[in-house]
Amino acid sequence: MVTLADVVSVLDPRAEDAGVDRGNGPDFGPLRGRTVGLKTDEFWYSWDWAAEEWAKLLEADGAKTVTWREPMPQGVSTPLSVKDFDQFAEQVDGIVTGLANCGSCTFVAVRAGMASLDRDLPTVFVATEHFERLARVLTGETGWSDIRMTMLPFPLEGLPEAEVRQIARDAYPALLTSLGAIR
Amino acid sequence: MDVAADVRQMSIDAMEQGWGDGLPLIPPTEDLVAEFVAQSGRDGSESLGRIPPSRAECTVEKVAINAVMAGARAESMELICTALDAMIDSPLCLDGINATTAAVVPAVIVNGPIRDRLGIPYSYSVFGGVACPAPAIGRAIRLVMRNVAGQVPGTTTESVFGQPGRVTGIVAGEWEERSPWAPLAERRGVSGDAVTVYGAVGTCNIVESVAESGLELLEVIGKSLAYMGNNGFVHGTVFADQMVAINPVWANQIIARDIPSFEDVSELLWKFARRPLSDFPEVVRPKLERRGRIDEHGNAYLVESPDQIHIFVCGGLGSLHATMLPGFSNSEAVTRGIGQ
Repeated sequence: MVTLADVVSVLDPRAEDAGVDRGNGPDFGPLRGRTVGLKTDEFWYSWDWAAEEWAKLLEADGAKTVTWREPMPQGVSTPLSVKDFDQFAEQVDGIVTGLANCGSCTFVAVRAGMASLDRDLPTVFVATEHFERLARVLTGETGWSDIRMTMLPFPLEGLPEAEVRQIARDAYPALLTSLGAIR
Repeated sequence: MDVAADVRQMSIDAMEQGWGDGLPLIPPTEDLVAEFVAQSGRDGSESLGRIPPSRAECTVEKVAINAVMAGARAESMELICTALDAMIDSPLCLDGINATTAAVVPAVIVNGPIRDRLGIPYSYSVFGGVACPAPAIGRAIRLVMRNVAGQVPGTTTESVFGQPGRVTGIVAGEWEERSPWAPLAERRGVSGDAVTVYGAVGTCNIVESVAESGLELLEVIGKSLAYMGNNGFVHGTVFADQMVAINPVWANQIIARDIPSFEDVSELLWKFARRPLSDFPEVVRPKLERRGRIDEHGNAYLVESPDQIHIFVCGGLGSLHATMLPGFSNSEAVTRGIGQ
């Protein structure tokens, strides 16, 4: 039997819960005449191929595209290279950020996506299936509890380029749905 | 909150509530925590910054609670807070370290008189096995990562294998008195009591029993560092600092004897830390070439410059071994003074 003498009062070692819910940002709306930004990085050729395919398809649907390859982190954890990102963000009406396909690259992709959401831009986070959970956890912990995501199969690495490009083309309708884009 | 006063039951309860690490925990009572905060020399409400991946405020009080639970000594709070200061919002890139699939953990290398005041090991079995406060200090930092930063395997960290250092940290001193060179922190601009935090994917032994010269030893160490799976050779890695611990006998009686200047030692180690591009699988070569770090002899070199390989002296006097602590992608070592 537990008595009062068997109990001790302790302080909670865990972080306080931020307790905010910031949703998932606005819809993109009509594609025609507007600009979609595709954020790539140095991690994955497969993501370069997918972004290239999506850029072609978006342009065929009347949108303009701008692709920005984020320089690798130069050590400073946050925020991302703000000046470069600002220049990119100012040119576009919405951002597709990827690729969440490993631990640290998920952080890099998510960091840019949250910066995009902070600017109230329609934002889609692209992940391979295994890394969806990490992307959602990382964004959820800062209040973005229901981000828009487009999933690609996992693993993508090791697949031939032509196959990856086909996967991207097949995923294009899902991208438009996530983005809230209208053809 | 109320918990069982018995350490065994409290540890079981803590595990159920998600704030244990599997080892016994000391109950963080209010009076103990207050003592730890006081020893930190800081206010309990002071924030060391927002710590990833949770981005929660890492207050001194939260650090103190976790340090009590870890079994650390109150007088180690100043070191623990300085080490966390160096990790948060710094070029260490804790975001990547705490989320990655790699096994990386921030190692804490200690310089200055504080080594002896706190009992940080720098001689025999410096990286593990000495009965000393270092594992509890390391564990305090790891509990902060778990409970404040929210680093949970399979949820917020994708680390495929992890490593023992993710439980008790890697906390070691430099044997400055047995080093022929200036202390690591001093060479990085901080004299006296200091910590250098560094993303280490592990510790790996380098043994050599035949080499007779400093040049030969540096060749063995450098070429060992340049193993094919080092993060420094991974596509997408712009840089990955590296770290090497050299035993006092090699450092003094062989390397410094043959190569008196530290700058020359550093340069030579950097030159040896490379491997022929032709060693790599064919599909990998264009990716390394795109990065541009190929020398005139067709060797891929591990790091851009000699100062990205951090050398320090520690370990027992039996010689024969060095330890390499291979680094993590896009993560730089950070040095901070303690109490400065």
